[in-house]
Amino acid sequence: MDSNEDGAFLEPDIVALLHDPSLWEEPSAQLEDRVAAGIAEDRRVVVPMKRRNPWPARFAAAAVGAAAAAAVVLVVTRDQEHADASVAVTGTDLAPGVSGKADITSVDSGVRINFSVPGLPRREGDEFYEGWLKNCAGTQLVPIGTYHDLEDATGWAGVDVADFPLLTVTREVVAGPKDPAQGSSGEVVVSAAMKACPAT
Amino acid sequence: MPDAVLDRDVVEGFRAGKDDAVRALYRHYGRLVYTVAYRILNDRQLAEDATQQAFLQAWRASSTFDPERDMAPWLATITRRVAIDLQRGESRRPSTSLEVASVDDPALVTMPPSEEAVWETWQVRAAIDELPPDEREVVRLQHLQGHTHTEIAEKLGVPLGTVKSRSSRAHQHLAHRLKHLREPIDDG
Repeated sequence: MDSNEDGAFLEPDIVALLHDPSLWEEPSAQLEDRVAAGIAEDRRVVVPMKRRNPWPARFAAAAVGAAAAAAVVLVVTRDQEHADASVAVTGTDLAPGVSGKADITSVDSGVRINFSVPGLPRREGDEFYEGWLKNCAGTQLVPIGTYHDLEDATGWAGVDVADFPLLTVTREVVAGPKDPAQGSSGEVVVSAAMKACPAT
Repeated sequence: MPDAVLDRDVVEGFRAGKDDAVRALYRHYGRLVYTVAYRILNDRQLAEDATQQAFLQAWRASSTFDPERDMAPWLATITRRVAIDLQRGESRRPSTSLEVASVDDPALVTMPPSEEAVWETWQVRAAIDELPPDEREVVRLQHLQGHTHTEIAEKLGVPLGTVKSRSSRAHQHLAHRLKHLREPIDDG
């Protein structure tokens, strides 16, 4: 039996496929790590949640005549409000082992960021924590609030989180109005990413 | 055995994004996903990009996947879609004029393989990967390189009879393994 006769076992289109280099190509050894890292990053970035839909309930509340009744309904609708997304927040080398989450909710006045990150030492007096949103390039920074701790803290941003997807919290100390220390100290204690930034 | 149905724990672990399960799934299906992507894109780097993206999209959609089902057709479909999207993106990039474009320029590729063709590619690659390495190499040299049995024997430094028997066993295995691709569909 010669080489051609071996192929007689197979259908012609399968033989044609065996001639196709794509059938014999091997991916690089690094591809497994890329795949695993891509999913790990995506998993860390955003856990999709149901979009909030508070408006119908709020309008329904407005139709209620009695002030007391309206107050009750508003309390209920606030409890039912859902965050747009929840991101995992992790400690840096300055806060090893610290982890938690931040719920991101867009409302008319801006973006609310609710931290639930226990474990950071409380900072008081001249010392505090400050939250920031940063663009992917790291060239623009927007402050979102200052805190004693992040166990149950809220930040606000008047920018689009799609443009400023990196969330960080730094250690800060009180500074004068013209003092360069008014900016970020760069001492990031926890961070999160609301979407993956392109590799540089 | 790429076509064997994966352990349910691996599928559940993948849905949860567990690293060991993601890697297990990749080791099971990664080469097949890459092969389909490469067949469509004809470019190693793009095929790797498509493979990464296909697994990512599979993970994102994994909550909709029934773990009792075979994951292979589902993954093949995702891979085809991802690769075609990538190919379209590449073809929109500024390119050279048609007169000087090479024949493998992605802009010149207009018809992606059908789902059936992609599934056939997946199946054939899976069957190849099931072959023992020595038989696989004979088939590769024979079909991809176009060598005769005599040339393969010389190249591998083994007797001609050994090459013939390896080739015969390998082709019979492929024929048996892939015969379902030619079986008529029973629509009764």
